[in-house]
Amino acid sequence: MRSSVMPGRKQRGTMPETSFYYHLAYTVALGIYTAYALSLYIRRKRVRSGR
Amino acid sequence: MRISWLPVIAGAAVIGTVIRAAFFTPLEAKQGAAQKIFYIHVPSAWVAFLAFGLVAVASGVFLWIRDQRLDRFAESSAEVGVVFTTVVLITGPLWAKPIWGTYWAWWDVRLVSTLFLWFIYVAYIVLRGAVESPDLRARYSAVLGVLGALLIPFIHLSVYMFATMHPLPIVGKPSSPSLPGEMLLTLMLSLLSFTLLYFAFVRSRYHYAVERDARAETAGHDA
Repeated sequence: MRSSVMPGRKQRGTMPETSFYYHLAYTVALGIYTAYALSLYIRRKRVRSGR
Repeated sequence: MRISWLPVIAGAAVIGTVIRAAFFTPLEAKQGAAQKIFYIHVPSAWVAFLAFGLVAVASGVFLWIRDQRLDRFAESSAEVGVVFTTVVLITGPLWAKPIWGTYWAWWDVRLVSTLFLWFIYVAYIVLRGAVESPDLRARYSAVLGVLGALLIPFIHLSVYMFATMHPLPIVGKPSSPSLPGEMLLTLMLSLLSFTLLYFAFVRSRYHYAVERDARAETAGHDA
């Protein structure tokens, strides 16, 4: 079966406009990972300072 | 000041992977840009399964030898697993909407069982917060940690057993991956970088648990 993937070819106009969902998904995912990293940093800082 | 290199390397690897996925990986012909959600959705799901699988292993061994370090590791891995599963449950619907025409389907076993897995480990975290005795807390949560992970093979195989909108695995299957080379390389890099991120998170969360328990013990002695 032929793959529907065509590496290197940008088929503007024939492709559905889905970049909104792509940008939203990346923003939310990276935001969650960054927020979790920050929460770990803050929790460790608090426990070290005894608060 | 001592620098911990694992989070730095993991963070740089994830940023590098995102840049490669965004600018140096070709668009898929039918789905367009939405297909690139694949490079964060699949690695996050892989890490979630890894995290909960390791919770089960650590919990099982804990029930046998009762080593506090295993309990702390299971606690850390469960929390990190919930974070990664949250990302899976958000990025999945955001990919589904433009491709399937809907964010969610309650009849789809893959989707609902993944949500159920998330609830089990959220319950695991709630349980740990609700039981005061450290010994009981460790034992109860270890049992839940082992039982929860039994869902993982079911979730993976659910696409073969039930009617589903979710695609079949394209790499985690007996035959060779059905993905062009450039996309496969980006996927492999993202799997590696997200796995590094998992270990960086768990290491930091484990150290937090050690410091928290040491402080609680000191406070107990002072009282």
